[in-house]
Amino acid sequence: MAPSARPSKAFVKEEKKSDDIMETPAYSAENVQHNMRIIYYSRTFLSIVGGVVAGVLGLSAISGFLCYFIIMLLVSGGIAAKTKFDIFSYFDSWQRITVDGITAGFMSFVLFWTYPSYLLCFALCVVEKSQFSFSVLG
Amino acid sequence: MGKIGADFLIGVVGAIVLAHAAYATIIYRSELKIKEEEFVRPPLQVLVEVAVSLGLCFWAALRVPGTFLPILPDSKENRVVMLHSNLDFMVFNHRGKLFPPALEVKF
Repeated sequence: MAPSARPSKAFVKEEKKSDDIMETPAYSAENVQHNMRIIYYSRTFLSIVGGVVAGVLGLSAISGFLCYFIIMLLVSGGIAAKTKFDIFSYFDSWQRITVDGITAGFMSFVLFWTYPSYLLCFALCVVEKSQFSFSVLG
Repeated sequence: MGKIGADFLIGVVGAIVLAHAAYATIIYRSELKIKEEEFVRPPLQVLVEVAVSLGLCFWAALRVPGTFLPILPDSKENRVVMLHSNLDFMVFNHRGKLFPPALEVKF
């Protein structure tokens, strides 16, 4: 049993090795980098927009992070639609449009998520101080 | 260039609408603070503005950075259809002759 299994495995391995040499595609590196740069710019801008939206809606904790992942999912869908769903003509794998760039925009999202809250606290402090000054003046 | 300008303007309008929504929310929350009420969600006007600005910003973010370029060497846009006038440094006797020809390529 075992000796009969070994030759077939070796045969498959050799065939796959020769197929790899013939079928390895040569990508245009300049165009690959251009496409990745476009995805990076899109994701960064929409991370900032998503952060402001989460801050305006008053989302906190898990709902805020969920908002970020929903927006990134929509961005991936938008990028796939931009390629007219022919992804392998523009990218070498699915990971480029689904996973790459998500962690890069996360810090921007958190910054702009908390920034409107900071503005709100500042505005509320100004309102309280004005109320206090009015009450003192009588 | 005209198309890029229009998409950029759409992005700017989306950002302005979002900024107005943020400002309206801050005013609303300060009013709630004065009335000593709890903030549950922003008013309907703000929600509509946020939805509109999200749509506009999505459009701009996907259109402004540019179009995707094909990465495969045998795509229409990447084909070399003209040769340089000085062929002294161009080599045609290379290993490419060992690969099987792509018969489906149109000339």
